[in-house]
Amino acid sequence: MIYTLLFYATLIVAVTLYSKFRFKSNFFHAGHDIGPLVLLLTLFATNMTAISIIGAPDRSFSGGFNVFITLGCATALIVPFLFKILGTQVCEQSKAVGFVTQPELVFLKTNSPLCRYLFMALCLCFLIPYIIVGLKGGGEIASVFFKEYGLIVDSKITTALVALLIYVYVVIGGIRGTSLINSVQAFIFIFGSIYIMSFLINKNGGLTETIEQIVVKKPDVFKIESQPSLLEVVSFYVITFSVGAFPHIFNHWCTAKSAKTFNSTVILYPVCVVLLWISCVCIGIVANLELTEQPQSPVIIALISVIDQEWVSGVIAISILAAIMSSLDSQLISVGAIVSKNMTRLSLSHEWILLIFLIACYLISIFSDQSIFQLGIWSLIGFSSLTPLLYVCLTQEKVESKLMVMALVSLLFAWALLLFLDQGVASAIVLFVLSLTFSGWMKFKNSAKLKQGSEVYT
Amino acid sequence: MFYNNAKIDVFVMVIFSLLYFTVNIIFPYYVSGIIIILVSNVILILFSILYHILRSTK
Repeated sequence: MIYTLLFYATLIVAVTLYSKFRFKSNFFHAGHDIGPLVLLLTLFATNMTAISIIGAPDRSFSGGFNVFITLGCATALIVPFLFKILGTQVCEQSKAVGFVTQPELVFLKTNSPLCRYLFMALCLCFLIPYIIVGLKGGGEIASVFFKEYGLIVDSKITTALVALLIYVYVVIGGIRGTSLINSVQAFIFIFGSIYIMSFLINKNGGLTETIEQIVVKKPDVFKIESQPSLLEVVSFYVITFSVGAFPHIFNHWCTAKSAKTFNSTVILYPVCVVLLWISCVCIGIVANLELTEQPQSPVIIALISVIDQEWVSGVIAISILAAIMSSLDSQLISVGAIVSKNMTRLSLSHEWILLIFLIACYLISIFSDQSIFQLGIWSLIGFSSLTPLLYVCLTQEKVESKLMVMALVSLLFAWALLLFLDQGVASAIVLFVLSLTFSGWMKFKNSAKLKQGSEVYT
Repeated sequence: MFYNNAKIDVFVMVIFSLLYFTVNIIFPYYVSGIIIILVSNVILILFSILYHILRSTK
């Protein structure tokens, strides 16, 4: 396994150095010339967090294909539409006007510094817990991973190692280096999960024999275990819209060469999602033949000690690391962009901003308990409510600042209240409807103004 | 020049969303096997891919 990890580290260093010396481009928008393949893979890698490669096998171990239907299919269906509707517009407008962050876009359309800072505050408020969760999760998974090999490494050290590696390649490579590394990471975890799935199937005597064994050992695996409620399906579906407001995805949209670059991304993105999710879910289902009961550590990690194959363990290790790191690096770079582009009076360079921010996140992650993981879903709920507002900003020439302030303040209060009352994932629907109402109001006001203007003109 | 391109995509996305809810909320009342729902979802995704292909070649 150690050789596979070394190979992974060398690959990251090589890609970072290649990007540093081969291209001389802007740190935050890479000269707007990222091509279709890198755009597809970097958007895919950024979106696919540890939920798919660690969470999906864990849930499918007992629940079968249910997790793929509720989360995987919604992602494969909706996210390409968001890329098409929002991504292409962000790319074109970013090239024409020069913004790389969402608060800049909001300022451009509302001409209000208050809207800009409110939007920035909301973005950071939702993004910081997401980064902390990723960092803490990555460190803990790495620690559990070493434990499977009999090595006791504290999660504080593994978290620091993950943070340090990400900081180094983000600062050296900028957004272009990060995009290239994300593309390599996407390759690793897509083909890694397919390889692990086919290894497990072959180990059990081929596809037909594996299915027969699973049906004997777990007869309910192809039946609907528990029918998801209407509220559950709609809530998870609404949460998928968070992709449209992720600052790190927005940042990657700005780097695309043109709107046409998105064509292959929207076509191939669902294919990549289905490939990854189906293989991860199959890993979880076939793991029933290897493990007698649901293990305490994640299923995919527990498989390491059962399989006892150095090469497969290495593939599992780098696939997990690639999935975790590919999201964290983009999130980190987007925080740097948000702070340095919108707080122009701040004289710190982006390297220092990233370092201070990462140290703060690291300290919070090591001093927080497991309850911090619950904040991850609240970040997604918050972001999903910002998507309709961003759509209005992108599709209108001007947006009324008073309405935008009202919308942002209401969303912030509603989010905090629902979080305080611990209302669960259904809160996503409430916030999304609130945001849609304000967005509709803004559009209505604009069309009324336009109508009034044309009547005066005629 | 940017502002009116998204309307048709938003409309189609709403249609696909309604189909998704039909498949995942109404189907489970009538079928007990997960494979039918799984295949229906995959067909829905394939149709959305077809839509994107047709839209990109326009």
